[in-house]
Amino acid sequence: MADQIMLKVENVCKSFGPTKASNNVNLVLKKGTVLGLAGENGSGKSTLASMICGMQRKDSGKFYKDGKEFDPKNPGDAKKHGVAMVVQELGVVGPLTGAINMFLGEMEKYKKGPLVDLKAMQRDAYKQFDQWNLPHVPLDIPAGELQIEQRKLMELARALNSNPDFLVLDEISQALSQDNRDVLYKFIKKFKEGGRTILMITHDLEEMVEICDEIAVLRDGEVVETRASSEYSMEELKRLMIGREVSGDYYRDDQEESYQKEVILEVKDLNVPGKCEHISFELHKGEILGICGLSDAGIHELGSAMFGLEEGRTGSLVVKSSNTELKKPGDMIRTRGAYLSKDRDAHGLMLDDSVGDNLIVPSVRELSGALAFLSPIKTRRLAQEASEAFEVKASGLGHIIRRLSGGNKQKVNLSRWLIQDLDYIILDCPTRGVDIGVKAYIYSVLKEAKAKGLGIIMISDELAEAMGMSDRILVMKEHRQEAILSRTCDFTEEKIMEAML
Amino acid sequence: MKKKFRFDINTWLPVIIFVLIAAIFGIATKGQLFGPTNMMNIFNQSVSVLIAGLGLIFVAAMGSTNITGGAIVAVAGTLGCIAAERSTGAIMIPVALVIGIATGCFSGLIVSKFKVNSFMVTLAVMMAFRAFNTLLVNDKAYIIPDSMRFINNDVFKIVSVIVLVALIVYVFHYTRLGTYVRGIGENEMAIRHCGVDVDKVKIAAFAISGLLAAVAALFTIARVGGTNNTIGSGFEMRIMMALYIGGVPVRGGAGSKVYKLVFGAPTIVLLENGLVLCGASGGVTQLIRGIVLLVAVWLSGYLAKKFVNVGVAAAQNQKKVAAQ
Repeated sequence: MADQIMLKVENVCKSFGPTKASNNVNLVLKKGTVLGLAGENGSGKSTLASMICGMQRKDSGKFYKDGKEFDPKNPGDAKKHGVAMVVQELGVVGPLTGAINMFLGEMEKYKKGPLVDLKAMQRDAYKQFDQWNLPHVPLDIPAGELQIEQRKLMELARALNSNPDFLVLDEISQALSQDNRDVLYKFIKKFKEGGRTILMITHDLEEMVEICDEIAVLRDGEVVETRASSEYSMEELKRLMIGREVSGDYYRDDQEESYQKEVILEVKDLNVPGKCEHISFELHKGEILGICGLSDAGIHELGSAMFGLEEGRTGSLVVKSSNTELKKPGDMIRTRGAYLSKDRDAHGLMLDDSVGDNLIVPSVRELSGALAFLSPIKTRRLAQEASEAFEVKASGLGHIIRRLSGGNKQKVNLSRWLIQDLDYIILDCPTRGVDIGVKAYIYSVLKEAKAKGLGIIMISDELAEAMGMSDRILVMKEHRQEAILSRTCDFTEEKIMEAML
Repeated sequence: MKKKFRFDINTWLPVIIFVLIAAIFGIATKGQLFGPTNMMNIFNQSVSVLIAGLGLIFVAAMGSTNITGGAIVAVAGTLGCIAAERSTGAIMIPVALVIGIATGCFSGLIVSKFKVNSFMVTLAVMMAFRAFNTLLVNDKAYIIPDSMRFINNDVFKIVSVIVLVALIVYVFHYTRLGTYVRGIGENEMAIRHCGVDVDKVKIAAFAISGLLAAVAALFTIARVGGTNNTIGSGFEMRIMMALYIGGVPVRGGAGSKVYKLVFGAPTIVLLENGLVLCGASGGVTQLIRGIVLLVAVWLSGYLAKKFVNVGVAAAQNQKKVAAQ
């Protein structure tokens, strides 16, 4: 069966203005296989995927599915041909419940007189989850209130609604934690065993090599290499993606727990019922404290609780240098701290505003002079410095954020805080949705900041990242603190997983 | 890198619309529009709209709205006149301003703390104030005291407008309050994550908009000569029109600029005035006003989208050049 061709891409081109997002792309996807698309941010992976799924029209070239020409005009058309997709951005209608979201296009099926049979809808939705062994997520609350991870699973189940034989997964695992990634891998295996095909886009190269049968490397809209994934070495794959050699040191190379004695932040019995309970730890100067846990362990809630955005928080957070207790979000900023949410687009950046405006927002308080005067010269200088120091690739400070690649967005998001003279920072998944080039860059910046004495709390879904960067790792399990492990002696995957499970 | 001058249509749109409407009616009225008396007339009618708009822009930048403008003109004006009648004339000013600020603070408080949509909150306040004014006036008319008629003096008005515009340009474009209100329009959560007390900013924005509506009330009643129970009705719509016809984005955010209002306010007055001079009836005037507003809002939204795309193309070009 593996020799039968599911989808063929022939000389497909697509341009946005002068940019060629796809340049003569040729690919062959066989039945019962997974093809991985590797490439840096902006190399044209998502564009290609969205053309196959009918979200964008190609300029020229042809698709063939099951031997016949296939030219989807819209996602519904693609669906009829058995093609479905889970998009990179969150594609749900926030205020509607999960169940309704799953069957938005198929309301007629559930008509009961003038009403819609919500119960049947929910039942069918869970049937879909069960069929593919996906963990249930609550479907009776507004989809916008679900965690990113749950939403992603729901979107996956929704894509499977139409019973497709060709599925596109655009960076789905980035949003998932370790245990749900395993669920996803099992799902992929089961899916392709039925002779179906998956086109997978991911920035996690190790995952890609492990999961995919074949990998195609895209660079600047062109396919530079396609072969079986077992024939790539990791270094080679990176080199092909970036087009030059990448240095080997990615994470830290020392194996010792190392930080100064001085305590920056003391957290005592922090408690938000049902989200993160009885958390106590100390953050030291120059320390990277990793926070890990399974999907529902509450690691992301811990971040927002520390910042002061969760209701009903008890316990104390004290900044030692000035002995101030943190109560509101403003307190953290005033004590030279910062918090960067996992959801960069929704909570961090002003997407339709310029790079410059985004860079200065956190600093306008410090930049204000007499009579609250905000000098345009000073703000411009700061924005210039931040974008240069972090090598933000944009046409200038007036560039609109929405049009930047994920990696550059994150650079803007990080640089505007790190350019300040901070004592401590809480980062929730700082490398989510960025390619390896930017990832390596972010790690080097964090290493540098650590050397300067910045206390960093790094909440991470990726175990490798937490192990590679942290001095200590706080492991959470079922909303509680399970263990604090030290880099010196405890950093093995087994020990951490043992604490997590 | 060479700095090239790029003509950005979005920036110039308010000016273009202004000039276009001035030209159309200038020709249609055979130059009558630009006669000195008529020009003064247009200025006079623009003053109140412009001043109230200077306050409303803080709320509009957040993507919110405040439709209490006309009702504040009525209540602040009437209570001011009543207070002036019972004591000295000058008391009118503090009474009106306090009413304006208090109304703004109240609306802002409900919007921010109780998370009620700003349109609904201000609609309720507007209805209550209209009723209150009717009760106060009760078919009578209050006359502005003679000592306060200086407000309608042309020189005083011109100076006031210049000072207020300068002041608001400063606060809106050169302090962090302005940065925050525009930021809230772009992404409220982002501003919250910067540690800003968003509720306070919202209350401040509504308070400023209330205050300037009260200032507009003083100029309005000074021009009209007093208050009655219909004073200021429909005023809130004219303020909003002045903002949006000038190209302030309805969703708020970075595109909110004071200069757009400065062109927008006289534009709608020109439009009304020109139509009257052409002999159009009241109904026709309203109809055309609506059409022009629709076109202006559509055009600025459409061009804003275009502009974003231009940004991308430019960036990609640059990337290519850098790569070579």
